[in-house]
Amino acid sequence: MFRLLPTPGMFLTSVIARCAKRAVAIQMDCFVAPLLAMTDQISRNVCIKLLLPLLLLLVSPLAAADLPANLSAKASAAAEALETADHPLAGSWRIDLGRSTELSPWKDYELTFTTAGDTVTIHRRLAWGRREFTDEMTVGPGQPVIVPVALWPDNRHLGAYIGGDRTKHVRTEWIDAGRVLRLSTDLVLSTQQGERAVNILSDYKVSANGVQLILTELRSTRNRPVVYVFTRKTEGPKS
Amino acid sequence: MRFSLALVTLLAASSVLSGAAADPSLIARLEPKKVARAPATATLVPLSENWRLDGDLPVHALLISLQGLANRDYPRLYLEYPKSWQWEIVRPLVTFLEKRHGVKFDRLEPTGADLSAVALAKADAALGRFAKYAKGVVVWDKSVRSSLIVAFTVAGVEDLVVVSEDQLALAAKHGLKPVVDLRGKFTGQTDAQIYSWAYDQYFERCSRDYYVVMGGHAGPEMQPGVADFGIRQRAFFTDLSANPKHTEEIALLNKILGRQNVPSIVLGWHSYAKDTEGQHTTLVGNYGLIMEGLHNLPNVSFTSQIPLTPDFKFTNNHTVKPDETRKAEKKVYVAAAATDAMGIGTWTKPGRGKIPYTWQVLMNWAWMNPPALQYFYEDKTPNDYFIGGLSGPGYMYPKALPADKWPALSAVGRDLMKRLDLRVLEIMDYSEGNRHVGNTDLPKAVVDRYYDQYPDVIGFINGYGSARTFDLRAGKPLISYDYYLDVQRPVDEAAADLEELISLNPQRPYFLLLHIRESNTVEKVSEILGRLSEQVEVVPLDVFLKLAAGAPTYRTNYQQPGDPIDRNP
Repeated sequence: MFRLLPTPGMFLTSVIARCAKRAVAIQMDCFVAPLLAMTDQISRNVCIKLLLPLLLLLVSPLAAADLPANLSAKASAAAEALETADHPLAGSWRIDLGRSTELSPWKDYELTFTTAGDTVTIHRRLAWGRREFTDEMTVGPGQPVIVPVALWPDNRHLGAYIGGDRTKHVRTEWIDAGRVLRLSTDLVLSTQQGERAVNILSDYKVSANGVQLILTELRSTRNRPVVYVFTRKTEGPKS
Repeated sequence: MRFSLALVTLLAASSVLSGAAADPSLIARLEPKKVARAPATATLVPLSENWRLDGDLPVHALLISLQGLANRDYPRLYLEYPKSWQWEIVRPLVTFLEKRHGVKFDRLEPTGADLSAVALAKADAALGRFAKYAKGVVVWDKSVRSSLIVAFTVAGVEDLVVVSEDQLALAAKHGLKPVVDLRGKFTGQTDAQIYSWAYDQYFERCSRDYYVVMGGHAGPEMQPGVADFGIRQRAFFTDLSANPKHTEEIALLNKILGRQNVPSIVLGWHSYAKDTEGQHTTLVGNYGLIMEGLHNLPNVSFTSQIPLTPDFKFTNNHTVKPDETRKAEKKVYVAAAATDAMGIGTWTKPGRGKIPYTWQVLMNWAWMNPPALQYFYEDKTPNDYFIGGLSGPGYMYPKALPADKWPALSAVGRDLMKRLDLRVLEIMDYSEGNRHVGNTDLPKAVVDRYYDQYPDVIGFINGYGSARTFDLRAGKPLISYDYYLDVQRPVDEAAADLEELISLNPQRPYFLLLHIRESNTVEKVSEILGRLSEQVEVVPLDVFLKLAAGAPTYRTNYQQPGDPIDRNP
């Protein structure tokens, strides 16, 4: 007996195949995002250019069946198509509570993306009856953007409040020709014991048909990912 | 005049001294007279699930008004609300009254397939027994909802049963004739106009100690469970809005509240359709009045007259002595408190007694609803611990209370805490925010007042949602909730929330105070705590506070000038 040592290619195939079986499950987004982020031995570009298109292809059993033979060609074509597409995120989205991580203290969550070149303005609205919180920020690739924070709304049931200089530093990355927006946010939360630096990795990922947005958030202080599923409210403007 | 002012000033100044005794005449003024002992027999009438205006509400309104009149000088009539009623102690209290007070209930329960006929038969039977306590009827207009609320005022002042048009024949059968007829009177009028008319006609004859905001459920439904007590007390009823955008309504409400004695009681609940809890309770507090929710708290005209049994004394489950100290270990300590849950939450649900648990007592029930409090105190398990609230004697927001209104209220609060064997006071303030936006924190000046005016406590807890006011003075901590357990929060996510807090607060000991909202069961809380990867110790709140007093890993913090403010629009 001998043991087959995994190669990067086998690893990719294994991850992709596993995820393909659960392509519609929320968990896919929870686990693929950190995997992508942590896969150091494969260049990030390779991951982005190949992995996501492959995942999309594998959602279809027919596409998955001819994967080995057409892998390279299909991936390249998909990547090229996405690179030339309009911003899939653009427009307004509303949460699907039944398919999302439980949202309390809020009961409604809307996101609106307005794109201009490679920058994006994200308007966020969280609401519970008459109570409402809104904020907005414009971010883009390059240097981190510093955004003032009036209130940390992500989980108001925790004794954790915006601290430090009441700002957040946001690094932005567009992936897969605009299908995925990845934000890495650093902020300081204040608690009863003092201040604590926190990182939040947020993936905004649009489905292949453009009607579903999944926001996966990994907080450095939280053991479970937070997954919010949105459906499109309005058509996105063409850029 | 000058002499009077000087005297008032002197009295006010003297009462500012911390620890001053409560003015005994204050509670005496408010307290319904007690009978020497509970009645040997009483009538019990079951009510249906239907509280719609086009359903059974007219019959229920008749019975509730009749109850207020029949119970005015003696507890005679108890209404058995449906099992789904928000205040879930209606039935356990019947058992308690039977067992501990020896009350024998005579159940009036006609049966039949026609539910509306059954409902009318109940009213017929009840009128047969109690119509003699009424002088006639007030007829409300089924096409104008607010006319029913006005009718409750009229019922109390004129000793009239509240009936709708189609109940007139039934009333006549029992010798009750129309005295006041509101049919057609308010057609096309706004609520401000309707209640202004009622104010002009009846306010002078209404109680200056009780006002009822007959809100809560709005539109096609009304749950006027507290109306019997309001009628008994001859209170003025409205569902006027405290929302600044309703200028005419809030103007009249200000006029009414400004005419009430200070302090006095505001019964009921704000209208879900008009304003918010934060707006209404803030306004009530601005006048130094005491809010006693619920709008559907039932049978108080009956229970308010029944004294404690002679063999009973309020005793709490203290684990530590007031002057005792406890040394904390390097671990996470958890205490769980349920503040809405005595009566409307989980007291009767599975799991109680499984882990140490804190229950907030509505302290005015000591004189307003003694059998209910005796029931809870006698039904407690060794793991149930009681604390006082909410922010004082009744539901009030300390930031909304004018400074000069504090001494009299605090004196009552201290007196009730002593009477009820309570050593911890819970504070909540929604005048500048809520668990979503704004803040629920206390400025230092308010914290100073609590430490000054409640010197006998072993500590305070603060918040509703999480809050960030922390303090420690003379071994008495003020700890805010670090977590609010939403009713909808699944066990897995709640466990992840707590683990995140444990991660965010790395020092040990860490004092994690949980607010358990209403219908979350003790069983669920226990399951959440059992899922945590780091071992925590769940302790009674008094132990928690003593441990926190000895190891202040929390930072002193008050509301800051830059903190967000939201007036609960």
